[in-house]
This record gives sequence, C-alpha cells and structure tokens, in this order.
Amino acid sequence: MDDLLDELKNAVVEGDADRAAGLAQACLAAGIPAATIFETGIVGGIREAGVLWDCDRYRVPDVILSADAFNLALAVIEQQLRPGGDDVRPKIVLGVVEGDVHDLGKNILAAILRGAGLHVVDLGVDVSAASFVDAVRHEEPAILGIGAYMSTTMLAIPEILAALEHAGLRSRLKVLIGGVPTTQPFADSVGVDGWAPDASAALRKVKELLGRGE
Amino acid sequence: MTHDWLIGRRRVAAAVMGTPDCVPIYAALTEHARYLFGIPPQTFYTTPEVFVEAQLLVSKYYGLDLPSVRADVINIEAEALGRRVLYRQRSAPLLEPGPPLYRTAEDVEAIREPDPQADGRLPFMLEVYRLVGENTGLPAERWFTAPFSLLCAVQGYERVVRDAAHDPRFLGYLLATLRERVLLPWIRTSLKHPLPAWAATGDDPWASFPVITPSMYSRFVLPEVMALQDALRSEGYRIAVMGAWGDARADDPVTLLEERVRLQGALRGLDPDVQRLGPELYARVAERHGVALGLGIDSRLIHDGPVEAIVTRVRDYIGRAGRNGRLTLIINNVPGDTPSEHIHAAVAAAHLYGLYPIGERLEGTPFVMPDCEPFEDFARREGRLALNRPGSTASHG
Repeated sequence: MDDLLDELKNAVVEGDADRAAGLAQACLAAGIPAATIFETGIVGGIREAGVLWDCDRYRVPDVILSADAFNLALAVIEQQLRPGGDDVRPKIVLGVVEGDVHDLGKNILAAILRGAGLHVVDLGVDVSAASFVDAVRHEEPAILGIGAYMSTTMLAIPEILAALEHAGLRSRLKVLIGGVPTTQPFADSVGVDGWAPDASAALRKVKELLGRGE
Repeated sequence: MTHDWLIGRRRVAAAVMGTPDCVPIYAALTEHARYLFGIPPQTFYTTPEVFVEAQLLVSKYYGLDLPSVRADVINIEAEALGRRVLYRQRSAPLLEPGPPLYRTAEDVEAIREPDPQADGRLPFMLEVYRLVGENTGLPAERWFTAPFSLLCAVQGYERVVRDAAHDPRFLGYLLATLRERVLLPWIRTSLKHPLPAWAATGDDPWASFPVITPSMYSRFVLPEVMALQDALRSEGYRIAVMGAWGDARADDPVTLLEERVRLQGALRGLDPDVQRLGPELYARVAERHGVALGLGIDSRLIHDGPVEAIVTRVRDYIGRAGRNGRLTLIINNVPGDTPSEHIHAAVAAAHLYGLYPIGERLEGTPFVMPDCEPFEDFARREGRLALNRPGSTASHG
C-alpha cells in the first residue's frame, strides 16, 4: 500500500501525468482511502516538487509537468474525495490584471495552491476590474489573488481595489498581490492584505491570511 | 530631424575594438518614447513615421550614443503567421493568448512563407528600417524572433513545455519548418531591404533559465540558433541571438556564458544576472574570447531609482568591467513612466566615469546631476511637441 503511494508521489514529482493517473486508480482499487491518496501521494508529490523548486533543482517546466500530473491524478479520485459534491475547501480567486497576458506565474501559483488543498478559481489573464468584481460577487472567495507582471500594468491594482470598494465587496475578503514589479512598499501603499515575491511565498501568505500559518 | 548619430556610432564601433574615448551607452526605450509623446499604442506600433521619429527624438533627448528603434520584436513573425496582437494602453503590444497555431504534422506542413509586403506588420518593419536609415545615415539594426521564442509565440509556452516532454519530434519538426519557411526568408528579406545590411539580431527572451530546463536548452535552443547562423553565414550574413536572461540560474553559468559568446558574437549580460554573478565574470569571459561586452542595467532600477543608486550601478559596472575599453552599457527595456531624470543620470554617469583611461578610484569623483531640459521644452524646440499624426492624442501640445 505504501509502495503504491510512494510510486504515485514520485510520478507527480517527475511530472509523469499518465503514470500518476494510473497509480491513483491503482490506489483506489487497492482500497486506499481517497483522502490518504490525495494527502500522501498527490499532495506529497506536488509539495516535493515545490521543495525542489525552492532549492533551484527544478525549473519552471518541471513544475508545470508536476502540476499536470497532480491535476490528472486528482481528477481520478476527485469524486471519491468529495462524494457529496460539496466543496468546503477555502476558495481563492486568481487573475492577472487587464493589459497583462503573462500567465506563467499565476498558473504555477494555481497548481501550488491546489496542491495545498485550496479551491482555486482561475480567471485567467487580461482580466478587467469589472470582471474581478463579478467573480468576487459570484464566487465569494476568502482570498482574491491579483497578479501583475509589468510596472505599467500593476497600476491597475488600485483600480481593482477601488472597484471592489465601490461594490461593497472589499471588506469581505483578503487581497493578495504578486508579480515581478510588485513590492511590499507598493502593496502597503495600495492597501492590500498581503504581497508575495513568488509562488512559494504566496502559499505561506495565503495560509497566514486563512489563519492556517505554519 | 538632424542629428549626427555617426559620432556615437564611431564610439560604439571603437568599443568593439577596445579603443573608445568613453564607455558608450544606449537604451531600449520604445515604450518610454510612446509614453513621452502620449501616442496611443496602436497608432505608435503601426505607423512607421511616428514610431521612428518618436524613438529617434527621445534617443537624441537623452544623448544616447546610439539611437534605439526597436519594435515589439517577439510578436512580429507570430503575427504574420496569424496570431492576433492586442494593443493595451499600459503595455507594449501583446500576443492574444489562445490555442496553439499548429497541432498536427499536417498543420506544420501547411505553413507557408509569410509575404513581407502583406502579412502582419512585416511591411511596417521594412518601412521602419528604411526610415531609420534615411533619418540617421546608419543602417538600421535588423531584428527577428529567435527560433525558440517564435515557437513559444505561436504555440504558447506551456504547450511547448508539454510537447518538449511528450512529443519532442513534433516540436523539432515545427522548429525546423519555422526556421526554413519563416525565419530564413524573412531575415534575408529584411537584410536586403531597402539598403543592404550584413547582420541581424534575434531576440530570445523565452530561452531563459528557469523558464527552460538545461535539456530544453541543449535540444531546442542552442542547435536551432546554430542552424540559423550556419545557414546565413554562407551567404555572408552574421546572426546574433540575444535577450535570454537567467545566466545566474544555469547549472554552470561559466559554460553558459561561453555559449552565449558563440550565439552573440560578443557577450551581453543583463541584470539581475550581472548583479548576481558579478560584472567581473562577464568581463573575464569576454576577454578570454576577445569579444566586446555589453552589460544591461535593469529596468526596475531605472524606473524606481533613486538617482544615487543608478549612478552607483553605472560606476560600479564601469569600474569592475570597463577598464579594457570594450564595455558598452545598455539600459534594459525602459518602462513608459520612468522619470526622465533617471535616464539622464545613467547617461551622464556613463560619460563621466567611463572616460578613458578609467580612474583608479571612481567613487572619489563626485557625480553632479546635469541640468536637464524638460522633455516638453526639447520637443517644442524640435518642433515636435506632439507628433501631430492622425490618431495621436499627444498630451504635450
């Protein structure tokens, strides 16, 4: 049983999506509870990939492939993981500001947050302030993550915050920002709840904002 | 527009030989020029006269040694192949995200050579080259998208990553086809039109660590650039490929820098890699190979300042890597809303501390910020307060 979980974890670390999906199925067939498969095999794998990224042994493509393996394996067990269909995981809405189509950092963060057991709603790139407001109203997330990857496009962040304020939604959620040109002083100046320089730091900040700091 | 660009050009040429009077400096300031003139993005990036005139004037305003007229290079060929370009007020043109252009070998087989007189902004680029030559008396620098970055532009980066892992033969086939049917014909055309040139430079930002892995670099980046160089060398053309960063994230930075010399015909380092690895390393590698060195000051520092930090960085790079006479400083992509005094400070510092022979203790020479004419006054004096072209909403007039 442990061997299967180890193999699954390794398949996620190595970014072998087909093998990871097959092993998730094999774990279910062996009678391993879905929650154990998820936590030990699938999340264990994406966490390990994150550690390898942090120590510079993994590059972005390695993380993308690990995230693919994570998502495919999760899809196999998802029904068993939440048989009632209710998703009680904390929800985070992510998007990149209007005028900015850099999706790499946001995609990596989405994978890492999913790996941490969060329900991620990905709005994509080039997202207008109005679309952020609509998503917050509709999804009611605990956290809104806004990415900006150019010094010019990060100026859209205060406009999004103003639109949320105007819609009476700002006080209901925490806002986290990130992206190459953003800084803590910028985050302080626009009045958000958190800033992170990279995906790993963003995960720590998300946990802190959710009151789950480690 | 009259300005003697030959003086700066001679200084840059002398720096290649190691005999300039001063360390040359130039900047990639396309978006900044657009910002200063308040020109709407689509007008700016599609109207050759406006595009060239604005960048030449702004290069002149800052006293740069070489004019910089660069388009959004990595969109040009992809747009000609069918990718849509988005024009947004706050950024340089962007390729619209979307599904890959080519999914099957049949799709790749159907790729046709773009028409330089009709497809996308290829005609715009040819007219830009003509106007630069006409206005400066210098051959315009020819640019193209390097093979790997073109691959990412047409397919989307994540699709390229997945194909590199799961279908590398398809990726290789696509790369070879793009090289033969798109890049080589386009580079040949751009080098012949309207005045002949002998060198072209590829921009390859996607081929950077950690955006790629070492195996992707070995398999899909290095051999493709070399194939392009080989194909055009026999016709008398010199191809360099630059714009990749992440030297400090490579497994073996020294080996990577050695390979960069091969790809660039010189050595160019960009911040933050130069900061992390130290300018001395770049200088040593360049000297070992007997090539010129270009060091790029990072755009965030230029944007955020303060002036003291910019001056310190310029002085530091000159003191640590400029003593053999072969250094050129480059200000990396200048963000639109960069305060003009930051760029003036970088140029003044380069021309103060970079005077040959370089002094032993540069920090002992005080920097005095020069009096700089406000851009509005300069533009008014040049008779170009607003470029007064159709569609321009220049706010300075």
